[in-house]
Amino acid sequence: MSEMNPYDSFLRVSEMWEKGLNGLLFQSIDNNPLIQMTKVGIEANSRYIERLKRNRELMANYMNLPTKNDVANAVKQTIQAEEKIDILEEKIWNLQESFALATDAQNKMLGEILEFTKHIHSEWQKTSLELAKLSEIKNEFEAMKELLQKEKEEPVLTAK
Amino acid sequence: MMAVKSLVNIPVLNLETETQRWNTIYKVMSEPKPDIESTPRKAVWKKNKSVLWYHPAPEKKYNTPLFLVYSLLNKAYILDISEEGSVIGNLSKQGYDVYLLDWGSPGLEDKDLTLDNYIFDYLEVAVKRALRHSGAKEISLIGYCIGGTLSAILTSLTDLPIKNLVLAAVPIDYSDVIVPNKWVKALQKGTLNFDRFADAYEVIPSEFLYAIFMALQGFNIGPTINLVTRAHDQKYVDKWRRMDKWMKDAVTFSGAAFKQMFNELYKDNKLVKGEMKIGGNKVELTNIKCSTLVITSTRDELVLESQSLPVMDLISSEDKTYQLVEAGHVSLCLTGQFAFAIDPWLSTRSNKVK
Repeated sequence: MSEMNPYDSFLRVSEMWEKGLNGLLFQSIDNNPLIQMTKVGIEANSRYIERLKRNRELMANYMNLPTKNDVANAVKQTIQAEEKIDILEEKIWNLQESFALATDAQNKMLGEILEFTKHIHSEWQKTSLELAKLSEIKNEFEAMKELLQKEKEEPVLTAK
Repeated sequence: MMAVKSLVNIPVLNLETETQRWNTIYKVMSEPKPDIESTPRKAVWKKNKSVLWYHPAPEKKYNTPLFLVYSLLNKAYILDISEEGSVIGNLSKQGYDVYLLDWGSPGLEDKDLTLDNYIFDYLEVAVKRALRHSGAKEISLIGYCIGGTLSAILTSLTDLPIKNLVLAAVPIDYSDVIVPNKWVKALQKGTLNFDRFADAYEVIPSEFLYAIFMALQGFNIGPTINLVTRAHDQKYVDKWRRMDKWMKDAVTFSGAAFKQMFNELYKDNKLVKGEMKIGGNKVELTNIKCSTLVITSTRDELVLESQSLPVMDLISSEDKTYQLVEAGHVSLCLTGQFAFAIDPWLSTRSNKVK
Protein backbone atom coordinates (compact mmCIF):
# COMPACT_ATOMS: atom_id res chain seq x y z
CA MET A 1 0.00 0.00 0.00
CA SER A 2 1.42 3.35 -1.00
CA GLU A 3 2.17 5.88 1.72
CA MET A 4 -0.73 8.24 2.34
CA ASN A 5 -0.13 11.96 2.42
CA PRO A 6 -1.32 13.10 5.85
CA TYR A 7 -2.24 16.47 4.39
CA ASP A 8 -4.59 15.13 1.70
CA SER A 9 -7.62 15.19 3.97
CA PHE A 10 -6.59 18.66 5.15
CA LEU A 11 -6.49 19.73 1.49
CA ARG A 12 -9.92 18.28 0.82
CA VAL A 13 -11.45 19.97 3.84
CA SER A 14 -9.85 23.29 2.92
CA GLU A 15 -11.15 22.99 -0.64
CA MET A 16 -14.66 22.47 0.70
CA TRP A 17 -14.27 25.41 3.07
CA GLU A 18 -12.89 27.61 0.31
CA LYS A 19 -15.79 26.81 -1.97
CA GLY A 20 -18.32 27.39 0.81
CA LEU A 21 -16.76 30.63 1.96
CA ASN A 22 -16.48 31.94 -1.59
CA GLY A 23 -20.14 31.17 -2.17
CA LEU A 24 -21.00 33.02 1.02
CA LEU A 25 -18.77 35.94 0.07
CA PHE A 26 -20.30 36.09 -3.41
CA GLN A 27 -23.79 36.31 -1.91
CA SER A 28 -22.89 38.75 0.83
CA ILE A 29 -21.24 41.30 -1.45
CA ASP A 30 -24.15 41.23 -3.87
CA ASN A 31 -25.86 44.23 -2.28
CA ASN A 32 -26.43 47.81 -3.32
CA PRO A 33 -25.12 49.56 -0.17
CA LEU A 34 -21.70 47.99 -0.77
CA ILE A 35 -21.79 49.13 -4.40
CA GLN A 36 -22.64 52.66 -3.22
CA MET A 37 -19.81 52.52 -0.70
CA THR A 38 -17.39 51.38 -3.40
CA LYS A 39 -18.59 54.22 -5.59
CA VAL A 40 -17.98 56.75 -2.83
CA GLY A 41 -14.61 55.16 -2.11
CA ILE A 42 -13.54 55.36 -5.76
CA GLU A 43 -14.66 59.01 -5.95
CA ALA A 44 -12.85 59.93 -2.73
CA ASN A 45 -9.69 58.13 -3.78
CA SER A 46 -9.76 59.78 -7.22
CA ARG A 47 -10.22 63.23 -5.65
CA TYR A 48 -7.38 62.57 -3.24
CA ILE A 49 -5.04 61.47 -6.04
CA GLU A 50 -6.05 64.50 -8.15
CA ARG A 51 -5.25 66.86 -5.26
CA LEU A 52 -1.99 65.07 -4.56
CA LYS A 53 -0.97 65.40 -8.20
CA ARG A 54 -1.90 69.07 -8.30
CA ASN A 55 0.10 69.82 -5.16
CA ARG A 56 3.03 67.76 -6.37
CA GLU A 57 3.16 69.70 -9.64
CA LEU A 58 2.82 72.98 -7.77
CA MET A 59 5.63 72.20 -5.36
CA ALA A 60 7.90 70.92 -8.10
CA ASN A 61 7.15 74.06 -10.08
CA TYR A 62 8.12 76.33 -7.17
CA MET A 63 11.32 74.39 -6.63
CA ASN A 64 11.99 74.21 -10.35
CA LEU A 65 12.24 70.42 -10.22
CA PRO A 66 11.29 68.15 -13.09
CA THR A 67 8.43 65.80 -12.30
CA LYS A 68 7.54 62.37 -13.66
CA ASN A 69 5.29 64.17 -16.14
CA ASP A 70 8.27 66.01 -17.61
CA VAL A 71 10.17 62.76 -17.92
CA ALA A 72 7.12 61.15 -19.55
CA ASN A 73 6.92 64.03 -22.05
CA ALA A 74 10.61 63.59 -22.89
CA VAL A 75 10.10 59.84 -23.35
CA LYS A 76 7.17 60.56 -25.68
CA GLN A 77 9.61 62.27 -28.04
CA THR A 78 11.77 59.15 -28.07
CA ILE A 79 8.73 57.00 -28.82
CA GLN A 80 7.85 59.34 -31.68
CA ALA A 81 11.41 59.05 -33.02
CA GLU A 82 11.12 55.27 -32.75
CA GLU A 83 7.86 55.35 -34.70
CA LYS A 84 9.48 57.49 -37.39
CA ILE A 85 12.40 55.06 -37.67
CA ASP A 86 9.90 52.22 -38.03
CA ILE A 87 8.12 54.08 -40.82
CA LEU A 88 11.48 54.80 -42.52
CA GLU A 89 12.45 51.15 -42.19
CA GLU A 90 9.19 50.11 -43.84
CA LYS A 91 9.79 52.60 -46.65
CA ILE A 92 13.31 51.23 -47.13
CA TRP A 93 11.82 47.75 -47.34
CA ASN A 94 9.37 48.93 -49.97
CA LEU A 95 12.23 50.55 -51.88
CA GLN A 96 14.28 47.37 -51.55
CA GLU A 97 11.36 45.39 -52.88
CA SER A 98 10.85 47.76 -55.81
CA PHE A 99 14.61 47.68 -56.51
CA ALA A 100 14.53 43.91 -56.39
CA LEU A 101 11.59 43.93 -58.81
CA ALA A 102 13.36 46.44 -61.10
CA THR A 103 16.59 44.41 -60.99
CA ASP A 104 14.62 41.29 -61.84
CA ALA A 105 13.00 43.06 -64.79
CA GLN A 106 16.39 44.41 -65.90
CA ASN A 107 17.98 40.99 -65.62
CA LYS A 108 15.16 39.53 -67.66
CA MET A 109 15.60 42.22 -70.31
CA LEU A 110 19.38 41.77 -70.35
CA GLY A 111 18.87 38.05 -70.72
CA GLU A 112 16.59 38.66 -73.71
CA ILE A 113 19.15 41.06 -75.26
CA LEU A 114 21.88 38.47 -74.72
CA GLU A 115 19.76 35.80 -76.35
CA PHE A 116 19.01 38.14 -79.24
CA THR A 117 22.71 39.02 -79.65
CA LYS A 118 23.60 35.33 -79.63
CA HIS A 119 20.98 34.71 -82.26
CA ILE A 120 22.29 37.60 -84.38
CA HIS A 121 25.82 36.31 -83.88
CA SER A 122 24.93 32.83 -85.09
CA GLU A 123 22.98 34.32 -88.02
CA TRP A 124 25.98 36.51 -88.76
CA GLN A 125 28.27 33.49 -88.73
CA LYS A 126 25.94 31.61 -91.06
CA THR A 127 25.80 34.62 -93.40
CA SER A 128 29.60 34.96 -93.26
CA LEU A 129 29.99 31.32 -94.23
CA GLU A 130 27.52 31.71 -97.05
CA LEU A 131 29.31 34.88 -98.11
CA ALA A 132 32.63 33.05 -98.06
CA LYS A 133 31.10 30.32 -100.21
CA LEU A 134 29.66 32.93 -102.57
CA SER A 135 33.10 34.62 -102.76
CA GLU A 136 34.62 31.27 -103.64
CA ILE A 137 32.01 30.77 -106.32
CA LYS A 138 32.68 34.29 -107.55
CA ASN A 139 36.43 33.58 -107.61
CA GLU A 140 35.79 30.39 -109.52
CA PHE A 141 33.60 32.31 -111.93
CA GLU A 142 36.37 34.90 -112.35
CA ALA A 143 38.88 32.16 -112.99
CA MET A 144 36.55 30.52 -115.50
CA LYS A 145 35.95 33.89 -117.11
CA GLU A 146 39.68 34.45 -117.41
CA LEU A 147 40.17 30.99 -118.89
CA LEU A 148 37.37 31.56 -121.38
CA GLN A 149 38.88 34.87 -122.39
CA LYS A 150 42.26 33.23 -122.83
CA GLU A 151 40.67 30.59 -124.99
CA LYS A 152 38.97 33.28 -127.07
CA GLU A 153 42.28 35.08 -127.63
CA GLU A 154 44.35 31.98 -128.60
CA PRO A 155 41.94 29.72 -130.64
CA VAL A 156 43.68 30.28 -134.08
CA LEU A 157 47.04 29.28 -132.82
CA THR A 158 45.75 26.14 -131.31
CA ALA A 159 43.68 25.25 -134.43
CA LYS A 160 46.59 25.66 -136.75
CA MET B 1 13.73 6.60 8.86
CA MET B 2 11.38 7.13 11.72
CA ALA B 3 7.67 6.69 11.54
CA VAL B 4 4.93 7.37 14.04
CA LYS B 5 2.07 4.94 13.61
CA SER B 6 -1.27 5.79 15.02
CA LEU B 7 -3.58 3.25 16.60
CA VAL B 8 -6.59 4.53 14.74
CA ASN B 9 -6.66 5.02 10.99
CA ILE B 10 -4.72 8.28 10.96
CA PRO B 11 -2.17 8.69 8.14
CA VAL B 12 1.41 7.92 9.00
CA LEU B 13 3.81 10.80 9.42
CA ASN B 14 7.16 10.15 7.87
CA LEU B 15 9.80 12.24 9.62
CA GLU B 16 12.06 12.48 6.55
CA THR B 17 9.22 13.62 4.28
CA GLU B 18 8.00 16.08 6.91
CA THR B 19 11.48 17.59 7.38
CA GLN B 20 11.78 17.96 3.63
CA ARG B 21 8.29 19.46 3.42
CA TRP B 22 8.82 22.15 6.04
CA ASN B 23 12.35 22.89 4.86
CA THR B 24 11.00 23.51 1.37
CA ILE B 25 8.21 25.72 2.72
CA TYR B 26 10.77 27.73 4.69
CA LYS B 27 12.90 28.09 1.55
CA VAL B 28 9.91 29.16 -0.57
CA MET B 29 9.02 31.82 2.01
CA SER B 30 12.54 33.14 2.51
CA GLU B 31 14.31 32.77 -0.81
CA PRO B 32 13.92 35.18 -3.73
CA LYS B 33 11.55 34.26 -6.52
CA PRO B 34 12.97 31.93 -9.20
CA ASP B 35 14.46 33.16 -12.46
CA ILE B 36 12.47 32.14 -15.46
CA GLU B 37 14.47 31.14 -18.50
CA SER B 38 12.74 31.25 -21.84
CA THR B 39 13.10 28.81 -24.70
CA PRO B 40 15.69 30.00 -27.29
CA ARG B 41 14.43 33.24 -28.75
CA LYS B 42 15.44 36.32 -30.67
CA ALA B 43 13.92 39.80 -30.56
CA VAL B 44 12.66 40.62 -34.05
CA TRP B 45 11.13 44.02 -33.39
CA LYS B 46 10.86 46.40 -30.48
CA LYS B 47 8.62 49.39 -30.01
CA ASN B 48 8.27 51.35 -26.81
CA LYS B 49 7.94 48.59 -24.17
CA SER B 50 6.68 45.95 -26.57
CA VAL B 51 8.91 43.24 -27.96
CA LEU B 52 8.20 40.77 -30.73
CA TRP B 53 10.00 37.53 -29.86
CA TYR B 54 10.83 34.81 -32.36
CA HIS B 55 11.13 31.25 -31.09
CA PRO B 56 12.41 29.10 -33.96
CA ALA B 57 11.34 25.46 -34.20
CA PRO B 58 14.25 23.08 -33.60
CA GLU B 59 12.86 20.94 -36.43
CA LYS B 60 10.55 22.98 -38.63
CA LYS B 61 7.56 21.02 -39.92
CA TYR B 62 5.19 23.81 -40.89
CA ASN B 63 5.66 26.84 -43.11
CA THR B 64 2.80 28.73 -41.47
CA PRO B 65 4.20 30.41 -38.36
CA LEU B 66 2.21 31.01 -35.18
CA PHE B 67 1.71 34.45 -33.69
CA LEU B 68 0.78 34.46 -30.00
CA VAL B 69 -0.99 37.41 -28.39
CA TYR B 70 -1.38 37.33 -24.62
CA SER B 71 -3.57 39.46 -22.36
CA LEU B 72 -2.81 43.12 -21.75
CA LEU B 73 -3.52 42.61 -18.06
CA ASN B 74 -0.83 40.03 -17.28
CA LYS B 75 2.72 39.26 -18.28
CA ALA B 76 3.20 37.03 -21.29
CA TYR B 77 5.92 34.83 -19.81
CA ILE B 78 3.23 32.48 -18.47
CA LEU B 79 3.32 31.05 -22.01
CA ASP B 80 6.97 30.12 -21.55
CA ILE B 81 7.20 29.53 -17.83
CA SER B 82 9.17 26.30 -17.54
CA GLU B 83 10.95 23.87 -19.80
CA GLU B 84 8.30 21.17 -19.51
CA GLY B 85 5.21 23.31 -19.15
CA SER B 86 6.04 25.89 -21.78
CA VAL B 87 3.27 26.48 -24.32
CA ILE B 88 5.78 28.12 -26.66
CA GLY B 89 8.41 25.43 -26.07
CA ASN B 90 5.91 22.66 -26.81
CA LEU B 91 4.61 24.40 -29.92
CA SER B 92 8.11 24.92 -31.29
CA LYS B 93 8.96 21.27 -30.50
CA GLN B 94 5.90 20.31 -32.55
CA GLY B 95 7.51 22.02 -35.54
CA TYR B 96 6.02 25.53 -35.57
CA ASP B 97 8.00 28.76 -35.70
CA VAL B 98 6.47 30.83 -32.92
CA TYR B 99 6.25 34.61 -32.62
CA LEU B 100 5.14 36.16 -29.33
CA LEU B 101 4.13 39.76 -28.84
CA ASP B 102 5.05 40.86 -25.33
CA TRP B 103 3.10 44.06 -24.65
CA GLY B 104 5.35 45.21 -21.81
CA SER B 105 4.19 47.28 -18.87
CA PRO B 106 3.13 50.85 -19.76
CA GLY B 107 4.68 53.84 -18.02
CA LEU B 108 3.24 57.32 -17.48
CA GLU B 109 4.20 58.26 -21.04
CA ASP B 110 1.77 55.57 -22.29
CA LYS B 111 -1.26 56.85 -20.39
CA ASP B 112 -3.03 57.79 -23.62
CA LEU B 113 -2.60 54.43 -25.33
CA THR B 114 -6.02 53.13 -26.33
CA LEU B 115 -7.13 49.76 -27.64
CA ASP B 116 -7.00 51.38 -31.10
CA ASN B 117 -3.25 52.01 -30.62
CA TYR B 118 -2.66 48.55 -29.26
CA ILE B 119 -4.42 46.97 -32.25
CA PHE B 120 -3.14 49.11 -35.12
CA ASP B 121 0.18 50.54 -33.91
CA TYR B 122 1.41 47.46 -32.12
CA LEU B 123 -0.43 44.25 -33.01
CA GLU B 124 -0.94 44.84 -36.72
CA VAL B 125 2.62 46.14 -37.21
CA ALA B 126 4.01 43.17 -35.24
CA VAL B 127 2.07 40.69 -37.41
CA LYS B 128 3.44 42.45 -40.51
CA ARG B 129 6.97 42.20 -39.10
CA ALA B 130 6.51 38.52 -38.27
CA LEU B 131 5.25 37.83 -41.79
CA ARG B 132 8.24 39.63 -43.28
CA HIS B 133 10.71 37.99 -40.91
CA SER B 134 9.37 34.51 -41.59
CA GLY B 135 9.00 35.00 -45.32
CA ALA B 136 5.69 33.13 -45.02
CA LYS B 137 2.68 34.04 -47.11
CA GLU B 138 0.20 33.39 -44.29
CA ILE B 139 0.19 33.26 -40.51
CA SER B 140 -1.87 31.73 -37.69
CA LEU B 141 -2.99 34.18 -35.01
CA ILE B 142 -3.49 32.82 -31.50
CA GLY B 143 -5.05 35.11 -28.90
CA TYR B 144 -5.43 34.36 -25.22
CA CYS B 145 -7.90 36.15 -22.92
CA ILE B 146 -7.97 39.89 -23.79
CA GLY B 147 -5.27 39.05 -26.38
CA GLY B 148 -7.98 36.94 -28.06
CA THR B 149 -10.40 39.87 -28.09
CA LEU B 150 -7.73 42.06 -29.70
CA SER B 151 -6.84 39.31 -32.20
CA ALA B 152 -10.48 38.88 -33.19
CA ILE B 153 -10.87 42.65 -33.66
CA LEU B 154 -7.69 42.84 -35.74
CA THR B 155 -8.71 39.87 -37.91
CA SER B 156 -12.04 41.54 -38.63
CA LEU B 157 -10.38 44.82 -39.65
CA THR B 158 -7.10 43.94 -41.35
CA ASP B 159 -6.27 42.69 -44.81
CA LEU B 160 -3.18 40.83 -43.57
CA PRO B 161 -3.09 37.16 -44.61
CA ILE B 162 -4.35 35.50 -41.41
CA LYS B 163 -4.90 31.86 -42.27
CA ASN B 164 -6.06 30.52 -38.90
CA LEU B 165 -7.43 32.23 -35.82
CA VAL B 166 -7.35 30.59 -32.38
CA LEU B 167 -9.20 32.31 -29.54
CA ALA B 168 -8.64 30.86 -26.09
CA ALA B 169 -10.52 31.87 -22.94
CA VAL B 170 -11.65 34.91 -24.87
CA PRO B 171 -14.13 37.45 -23.48
CA ILE B 172 -16.33 38.68 -26.34
CA ASP B 173 -19.75 39.04 -24.73
CA TYR B 174 -19.67 41.16 -21.58
CA SER B 175 -23.37 40.91 -20.73
CA ASP B 176 -22.45 38.45 -17.99
CA VAL B 177 -19.13 38.66 -16.17
CA ILE B 178 -17.70 36.88 -13.19
CA VAL B 179 -18.99 39.31 -10.53
CA PRO B 180 -22.30 39.27 -8.61
CA ASN B 181 -25.40 40.35 -10.55
CA LYS B 182 -25.94 43.66 -8.81
CA TRP B 183 -22.34 44.65 -9.57
CA VAL B 184 -22.84 43.74 -13.24
CA LYS B 185 -25.95 45.93 -13.32
CA ALA B 186 -24.14 48.78 -11.53
CA LEU B 187 -21.38 48.60 -14.15
CA GLN B 188 -23.84 48.47 -17.02
CA LYS B 189 -25.96 51.34 -15.73
CA GLY B 190 -22.92 53.46 -15.03
CA THR B 191 -23.50 53.62 -11.25
CA LEU B 192 -19.98 52.31 -10.89
CA ASN B 193 -17.78 54.31 -13.14
CA PHE B 194 -14.00 54.25 -13.29
CA ASP B 195 -13.45 57.25 -15.60
CA ARG B 196 -12.39 59.70 -12.92
CA PHE B 197 -10.29 57.01 -11.24
CA ALA B 198 -8.47 56.24 -14.51
CA ASP B 199 -7.97 59.95 -15.22
CA ALA B 200 -6.61 60.55 -11.74
CA TYR B 201 -4.13 57.68 -11.83
CA GLU B 202 -3.35 58.14 -15.57
CA VAL B 203 -1.74 54.70 -15.60
CA ILE B 204 -3.52 52.07 -13.52
CA PRO B 205 -0.97 50.81 -10.98
CA SER B 206 -0.04 47.13 -11.06
CA GLU B 207 -1.06 46.81 -7.40
CA PHE B 208 -4.62 47.78 -8.35
CA LEU B 209 -4.82 45.14 -11.09
CA TYR B 210 -3.33 42.57 -8.73
CA ALA B 211 -5.93 43.51 -6.13
CA ILE B 212 -8.72 43.06 -8.71
CA PHE B 213 -7.43 39.59 -9.61
CA MET B 214 -7.17 38.65 -5.96
CA ALA B 215 -10.65 40.02 -5.23
CA LEU B 216 -12.12 38.02 -8.12
CA GLN B 217 -10.73 34.85 -6.60
CA GLY B 218 -12.24 35.48 -3.17
CA PHE B 219 -10.78 33.33 -0.41
CA ASN B 220 -7.84 31.97 -2.29
CA ILE B 221 -6.18 29.66 0.20
CA GLY B 222 -6.04 26.77 -2.30
CA PRO B 223 -2.53 27.47 -3.65
CA THR B 224 -1.01 27.74 -0.16
CA ILE B 225 -2.66 24.52 1.02
CA ASN B 226 -1.56 22.82 -2.21
CA LEU B 227 2.01 23.89 -1.50
CA VAL B 228 1.92 22.51 2.05
CA THR B 229 0.36 19.27 0.85
CA ARG B 230 2.91 18.66 -1.88
CA ALA B 231 5.96 20.50 -0.54
CA HIS B 232 8.02 17.27 -0.45
CA ASP B 233 7.62 17.00 -4.23
CA GLN B 234 10.42 19.21 -5.60
CA LYS B 235 9.02 19.23 -9.14
CA TYR B 236 5.67 20.50 -7.93
CA VAL B 237 7.28 23.11 -5.67
CA ASP B 238 9.33 24.40 -8.59
CA LYS B 239 6.17 24.76 -10.70
CA TRP B 240 4.34 26.38 -7.79
CA ARG B 241 7.09 28.98 -7.27
CA ARG B 242 7.04 29.94 -10.94
CA MET B 243 3.26 30.29 -10.85
CA ASP B 244 3.48 32.31 -7.61
CA LYS B 245 6.03 34.65 -9.17
CA TRP B 246 3.86 35.19 -12.22
CA MET B 247 0.69 35.78 -10.17
CA LYS B 248 2.37 38.50 -8.11
CA ASP B 249 4.19 40.02 -11.07
CA ALA B 250 1.31 42.21 -12.20
CA VAL B 251 1.47 44.82 -14.95
CA THR B 252 0.36 48.42 -15.13
CA PHE B 253 -2.36 49.36 -17.59
CA SER B 254 -2.86 52.50 -19.64
CA GLY B 255 -5.64 54.69 -18.21
CA ALA B 256 -7.15 55.43 -21.63
CA ALA B 257 -7.37 51.72 -22.55
CA PHE B 258 -8.82 50.96 -19.09
CA LYS B 259 -11.57 53.54 -19.61
CA GLN B 260 -12.26 52.26 -23.10
CA MET B 261 -12.53 48.67 -21.88
CA PHE B 262 -14.85 49.56 -19.02
CA ASN B 263 -17.11 51.84 -21.03
CA GLU B 264 -17.25 50.09 -24.39
CA LEU B 265 -17.02 46.49 -23.29
CA TYR B 266 -18.17 46.08 -19.68
CA LYS B 267 -20.73 48.89 -19.73
CA ASP B 268 -22.13 49.00 -23.26
CA ASN B 269 -21.03 45.56 -24.54
CA LYS B 270 -20.38 47.16 -27.93
CA LEU B 271 -18.29 44.38 -29.49
CA VAL B 272 -21.14 41.88 -29.59
CA LYS B 273 -23.61 44.54 -30.71
CA GLY B 274 -21.34 45.50 -33.60
CA GLU B 275 -21.12 49.09 -32.37
CA MET B 276 -17.48 49.20 -31.33
CA LYS B 277 -15.23 51.49 -33.34
CA ILE B 278 -11.49 50.98 -33.62
CA GLY B 279 -9.43 53.48 -35.56
CA GLY B 280 -12.66 55.00 -36.85
CA ASN B 281 -13.80 51.67 -38.32
CA LYS B 282 -16.78 49.72 -37.05
CA VAL B 283 -15.71 46.32 -35.76
CA GLU B 284 -17.83 43.69 -37.51
CA LEU B 285 -16.88 40.23 -36.31
CA THR B 286 -18.79 38.88 -39.31
CA ASN B 287 -15.77 39.96 -41.37
CA ILE B 288 -13.84 37.02 -39.89
CA LYS B 289 -13.82 34.40 -42.60
CA CYS B 290 -10.65 32.41 -41.83
CA SER B 291 -10.58 29.03 -40.08
CA THR B 292 -11.32 29.65 -36.41
CA LEU B 293 -10.89 27.61 -33.25
CA VAL B 294 -12.46 28.79 -29.99
CA ILE B 295 -11.23 27.19 -26.78
CA THR B 296 -12.71 27.54 -23.31
CA SER B 297 -11.75 25.72 -20.16
CA THR B 298 -14.12 23.98 -17.77
CA ARG B 299 -12.77 25.50 -14.55
CA ASP B 300 -12.19 29.03 -15.83
CA GLU B 301 -12.86 31.41 -12.95
CA LEU B 302 -12.08 34.65 -14.78
CA VAL B 303 -13.75 34.35 -18.19
CA LEU B 304 -17.10 32.56 -18.35
CA GLU B 305 -17.92 30.12 -21.13
CA SER B 306 -20.93 32.30 -21.96
CA GLN B 307 -18.52 35.17 -22.71
CA SER B 308 -16.67 33.17 -25.40
CA LEU B 309 -19.48 31.16 -26.99
CA PRO B 310 -21.29 34.00 -28.85
CA VAL B 311 -18.24 34.51 -31.08
CA MET B 312 -19.10 31.21 -32.80
CA ASP B 313 -22.32 32.73 -34.15
CA LEU B 314 -20.87 36.14 -34.87
CA ILE B 315 -18.07 35.10 -37.24
CA SER B 316 -18.79 34.04 -40.81
CA SER B 317 -16.03 31.42 -41.07
CA GLU B 318 -17.19 28.21 -42.67
CA ASP B 319 -14.49 26.24 -40.89
CA LYS B 320 -15.08 26.93 -37.19
CA THR B 321 -14.50 24.64 -34.24
CA TYR B 322 -15.41 24.93 -30.57
CA GLN B 323 -13.39 23.03 -28.00
CA LEU B 324 -13.87 22.68 -24.25
CA VAL B 325 -10.72 21.76 -22.37
CA GLU B 326 -10.50 20.33 -18.86
CA ALA B 327 -8.43 23.09 -17.21
CA GLY B 328 -8.53 26.48 -15.49
CA HIS B 329 -7.98 29.95 -16.93
CA VAL B 330 -4.31 30.01 -15.94
CA SER B 331 -3.54 26.29 -15.63
CA LEU B 332 -4.28 25.82 -19.35
CA CYS B 333 -1.11 27.83 -20.01
CA LEU B 334 0.81 26.91 -16.89
CA THR B 335 0.85 23.20 -17.69
CA GLY B 336 1.67 23.74 -21.35
CA GLN B 337 -1.54 21.80 -22.08
CA PHE B 338 -2.66 24.57 -24.42
CA ALA B 339 -0.01 23.58 -26.99
CA PHE B 340 -1.35 20.00 -27.15
CA ALA B 341 -4.96 21.21 -27.25
CA ILE B 342 -4.47 23.32 -30.36
CA ASP B 343 -1.90 21.21 -32.24
CA PRO B 344 -4.30 18.66 -33.80
CA TRP B 345 -6.47 21.49 -35.17
CA LEU B 346 -3.56 23.64 -36.30
CA SER B 347 -1.47 20.87 -37.85
CA THR B 348 -4.17 20.09 -40.41
CA ARG B 349 -4.54 23.76 -41.28
CA SER B 350 -0.88 24.76 -41.54
CA ASN B 351 1.20 24.45 -44.69
CA LYS B 352 3.68 21.61 -44.27
CA VAL B 353 7.37 21.94 -45.16
CA LYS B 354 7.98 19.98 -48.36
